[in-house]
Amino acid sequence: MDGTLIELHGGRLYDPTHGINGEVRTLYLSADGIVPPPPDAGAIAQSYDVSGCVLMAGGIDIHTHIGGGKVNLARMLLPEDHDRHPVARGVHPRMGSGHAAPSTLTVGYRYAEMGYTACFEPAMLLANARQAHLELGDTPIVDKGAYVLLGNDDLFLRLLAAKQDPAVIGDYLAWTLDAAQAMAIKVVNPGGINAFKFNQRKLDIDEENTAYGLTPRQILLALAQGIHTLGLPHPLHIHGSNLGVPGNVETTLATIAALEGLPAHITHIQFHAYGNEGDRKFSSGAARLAEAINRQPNISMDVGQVMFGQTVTESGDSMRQYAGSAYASPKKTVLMDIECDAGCGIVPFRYRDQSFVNALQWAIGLELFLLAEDPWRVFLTTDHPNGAPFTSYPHLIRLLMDRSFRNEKLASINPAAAAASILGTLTREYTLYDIAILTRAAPAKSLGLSSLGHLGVGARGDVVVYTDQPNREAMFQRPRYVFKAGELIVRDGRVIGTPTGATHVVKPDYERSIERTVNDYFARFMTVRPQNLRVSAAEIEGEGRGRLVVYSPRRSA
Amino acid sequence: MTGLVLTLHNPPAFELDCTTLNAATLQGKTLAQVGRLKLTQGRHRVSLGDLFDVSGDTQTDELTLLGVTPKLHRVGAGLASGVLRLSGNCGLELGLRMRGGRLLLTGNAGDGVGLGLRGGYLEVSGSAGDFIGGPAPGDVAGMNNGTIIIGRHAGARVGERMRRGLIIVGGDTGPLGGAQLIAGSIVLLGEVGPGLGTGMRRGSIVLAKPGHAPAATFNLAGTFDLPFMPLLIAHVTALKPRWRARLAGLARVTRWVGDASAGGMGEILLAS
Ligand SMILES: [Zn+2]
Repeated sequence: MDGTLIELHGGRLYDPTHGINGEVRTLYLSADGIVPPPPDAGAIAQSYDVSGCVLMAGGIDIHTHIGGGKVNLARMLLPEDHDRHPVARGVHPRMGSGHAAPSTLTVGYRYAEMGYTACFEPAMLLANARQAHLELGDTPIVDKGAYVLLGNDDLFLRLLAAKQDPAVIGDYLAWTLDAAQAMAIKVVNPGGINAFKFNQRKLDIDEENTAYGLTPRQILLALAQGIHTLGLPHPLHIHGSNLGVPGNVETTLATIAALEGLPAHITHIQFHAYGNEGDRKFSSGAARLAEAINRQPNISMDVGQVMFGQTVTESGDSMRQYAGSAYASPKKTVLMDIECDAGCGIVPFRYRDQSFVNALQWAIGLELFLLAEDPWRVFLTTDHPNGAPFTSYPHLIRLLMDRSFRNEKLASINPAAAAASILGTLTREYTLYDIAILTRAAPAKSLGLSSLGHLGVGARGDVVVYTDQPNREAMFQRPRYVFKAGELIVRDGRVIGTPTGATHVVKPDYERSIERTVNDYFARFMTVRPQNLRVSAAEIEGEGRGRLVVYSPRRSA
Repeated sequence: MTGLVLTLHNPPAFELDCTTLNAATLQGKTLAQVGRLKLTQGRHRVSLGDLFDVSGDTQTDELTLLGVTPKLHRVGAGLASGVLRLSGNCGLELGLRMRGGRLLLTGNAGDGVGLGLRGGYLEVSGSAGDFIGGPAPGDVAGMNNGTIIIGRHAGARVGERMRRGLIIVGGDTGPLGGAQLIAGSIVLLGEVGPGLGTGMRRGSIVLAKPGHAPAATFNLAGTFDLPFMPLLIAHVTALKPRWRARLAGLARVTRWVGDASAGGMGEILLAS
């Protein structure tokens, strides 16, 4: 054991991984993380009396767009977002700016201030992996990782269209994870981003991408099977087809069915939970979707809650972002592509509580939260910044935990939307234990992060101390203490320490012969070589600044 | 001199954001309170009193800044009423998103004078840099109303994407004046750079000095005694009597319509 030993006594622990629900226990922290009680009390260097406080592991955001090309494009498209939200040095250890697409430093500080200590960037292209890791490397305090996008790239579609052996496809997935230093695989609008480049404007689950003759169903299944065989901890991370289209709940239900029982994670599901009933042909599909997911233990979801106000949508889904560009507010958009790997679209947007559609989107997200029976399969996200900036999480937590607050807000939104939602009839209130599952234990479990998201001995020592108060928004906005790897980094909502978090990556075994296929493909079609794109461990670790945490999953049969 | 007077005694070594420096935010405060006001300098926050001597009174809506240097940016940003007088050479984005009142600079200004102007009167006695009256950061369109007068020369892209209002430049201007002009009037008294009116949709660019040859994407539409011109001449003369003689040639103008490359129906009016 090295460094100072810290004791936190008198606080109530919420550690769902170990079934601890509000019991008063003493925690011991050192640079090694959470440690057993020392045999000799004299070894304790600092002792904090945290009576009346709530202790949780550091928060984990499983889906937040904080690095990579699209975030930088959003920053460039929205100088006003930075102009209007400057943060001088002194408020934070270093200056920064931005609200919807904040600077890297601001992202790290703001997350830490709320007690979040790990963030996962869900949309990294292999072609842009270096940029993503540079930005994540520049994001202080939090641990991080990124999911690599597959399923719209030319090589994968060629392999699948040529009916390649699933083992070869699995090797390609594993090679890409390795080359991009990724933690999981995400598919965005399966085959649809690619179809958009061949001038298709929509692609439903059984429609063919005309260039390859493949349907989203085939792509989903091949990816989910490949990931399952490789034994990756996090299942296929799916941003489904028809995002934002009224009536898309049918597509989402079909997507779940298409997986044939394989594990999968459906992301920002709120944007995929729309019916087309009622006068305005826009209604909530939350009840049907929640019911289906409650019955399917192989499926997890994050919500992608919408909150009112100005934000920017950043997505790899060029097809849907192109359609959405008509609603840009302020009126400006960027669509772009690198190496035909996937796509990218930036559309600024302001969600208005008096708009029927926006207000109903808000209600649908909350319905999904409250109708999902198993908190271990639902994660708290706003799909930052697509539904709202992540800084709105404390407000969202209060909406989930405080029914009267929720009903008060419901009464203030567009009345037709409020009437069209069943939200007012839902009496459920999340408990602190539930919140600890949604924001800590469940994401850690889903990603296979053995040392994060819990308070057991052996954990990294990311601990948050909240002052228990009835206003849950205030409580979660400003923790009393935040410890990162056993070091005090936030006191009374102010950042006082800025360690560099680790980068989590997954490295499944694969047959090296796949490199020949990849090399041949790159030589024939691409403007660079695979080794130009490959991100080395040394680049991330760079002179000891960063640290890699490598997970080596075992193949399942 | 009436109103509050701030004299720069400790010129900042690097960029000082003066956004909050206007009479409306200072009005009614004691001089000591004014001195304690925080300004953003680079990545730091500094007290106004550390940089400026504070004198005069805060009862009126007039503010005077003396000894202005090019490190002072965004002076008069968001000005809505009253009078703001400056002397010296100021930095970037003078009068950013100003909405009303009068902003009078005796000296030269940097780039971005009157970006996103929404109203009011902004005058620079000397020369100014690029992007006068253009879009504020993040905006798609430039100034929307108000008047900007530059006494001497101006840089590139005067009135880029301007939507409404009036810009007058007494001296020479750089390339791409009135580029992508949406509407509004730009009156240029001196020589103009290449690319005048590139991509303009509507609006008027008026050249008081004969001899300019518009680009090939502008079409000659004839020579006219436009009834609008005497009104414009009278308006400009009322603002700047000493420019009367230089405006004489505008009584009869040659009209060029364009920019045809952007399907534009704007006009360049040349003095005969
Ligand atoms: Zn997302």
